[in-house]
Amino acid sequence: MMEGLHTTRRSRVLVADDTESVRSLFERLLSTDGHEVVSATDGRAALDAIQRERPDVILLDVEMPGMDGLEVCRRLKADPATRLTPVVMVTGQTDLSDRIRGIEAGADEFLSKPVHPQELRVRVRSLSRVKHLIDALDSAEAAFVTLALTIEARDPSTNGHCERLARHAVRLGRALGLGSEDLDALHRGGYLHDVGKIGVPDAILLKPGPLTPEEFALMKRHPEIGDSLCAPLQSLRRVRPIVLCHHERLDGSGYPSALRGDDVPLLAQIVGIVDVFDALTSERPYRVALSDEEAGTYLLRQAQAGKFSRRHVEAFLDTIGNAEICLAS
Amino acid sequence: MANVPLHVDHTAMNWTPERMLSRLDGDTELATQLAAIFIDEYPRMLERLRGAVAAGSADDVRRAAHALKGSVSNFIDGGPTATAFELENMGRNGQLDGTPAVLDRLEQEIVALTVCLQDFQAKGTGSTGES
Repeated sequence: MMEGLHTTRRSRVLVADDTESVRSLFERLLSTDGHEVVSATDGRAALDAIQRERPDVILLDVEMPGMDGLEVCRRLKADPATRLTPVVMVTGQTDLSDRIRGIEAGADEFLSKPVHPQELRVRVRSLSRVKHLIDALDSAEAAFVTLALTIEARDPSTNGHCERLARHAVRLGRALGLGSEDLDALHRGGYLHDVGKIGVPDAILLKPGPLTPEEFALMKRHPEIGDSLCAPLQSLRRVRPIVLCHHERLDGSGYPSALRGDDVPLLAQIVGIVDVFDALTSERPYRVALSDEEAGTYLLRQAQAGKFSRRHVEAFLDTIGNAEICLAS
Repeated sequence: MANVPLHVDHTAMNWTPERMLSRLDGDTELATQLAAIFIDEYPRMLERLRGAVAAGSADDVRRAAHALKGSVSNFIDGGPTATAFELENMGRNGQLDGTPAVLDRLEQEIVALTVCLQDFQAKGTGSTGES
């Protein structure tokens, strides 16, 4: 994979312009540079072609019949499947307002008509490299998630834990008013929080009963193992505090660093709450699953004991519709 | 288009094959291909612009002139490119008084350009249009 980061791959480029001569110019220049070119004559056709062909770089004329290039760009940048695909808006040389609207729509680059062949080639070449790097990082992250799910699969009693955790954590984050970057980190953190368990032997991970102090000491190493696994990936920098600190507690009773209060990162606090809730409401070889109400009551007691923020626990119970029942009990 | 009078001096537009080729990376084959596409597509583009001017629709004038400007700017900086831009701005500003006269000028400039482009196609490397 690392070799792929440094070599030039043939790219697929989408050209959307309603003027045939402009499309032909771009097609000719880009195909002689080794790219595969897909053309569209209007905004809707561009969206269809993007969904079908998954281009590496997209060139959009601002003015197109029906849906214009700005709207196409907005839609691409709002869709998780295409938001990282570089978009070049092609504008008139003097159309400053188009450029400003293009920036607002999320365009990555601009080209002015008439497009200079060399400039077009260099821009597309450089954006292709960026896209290939993003793809490589995506593959690395996908490999990590696969690893996390493989670890989950080692223990049949945790089936679906990561997926539920990701969903609950995002829901709680949203309830607490967090922004999209934090929500994204919570989603990925939900999957990756226990990735360090790859370093915990099956005999401990799958033990159907309480762990000995020695075994627990080994188990407590998984956040640090997970953190060092994630460290080389820059794209996981916001996820690492979750992986490292999701077993920390506000009263300093957690691990691995016995952090206290605000030193426990907020995103790790969130995952910590939903992790405990999911563990309690899932069946284990040595106990039956608690009901949502029982687990909620337990979390509130833990908050009262200073381990979790009461506000966060209540917000979480609110998101699963159990706040009133648990507070009453 | 055949009855549009040719009042435009080709050389006044400052078009030369060399200038055009410098915009296209010196690629004669590409220039020939684009010239053929332009000669085929410009009547439809002009027709759309005429319709917009006749209908008095400022936004349609802006869009049609913008498209024509994009197409013609592959070959030339001033002349029809500048005139199409003038019409685009008139549409953008909603000032359609005088658009028929500007449109006439644009048509003449485009016809002059197509004569140059046809000459270029015929000769391979083209001429300056001064003959």
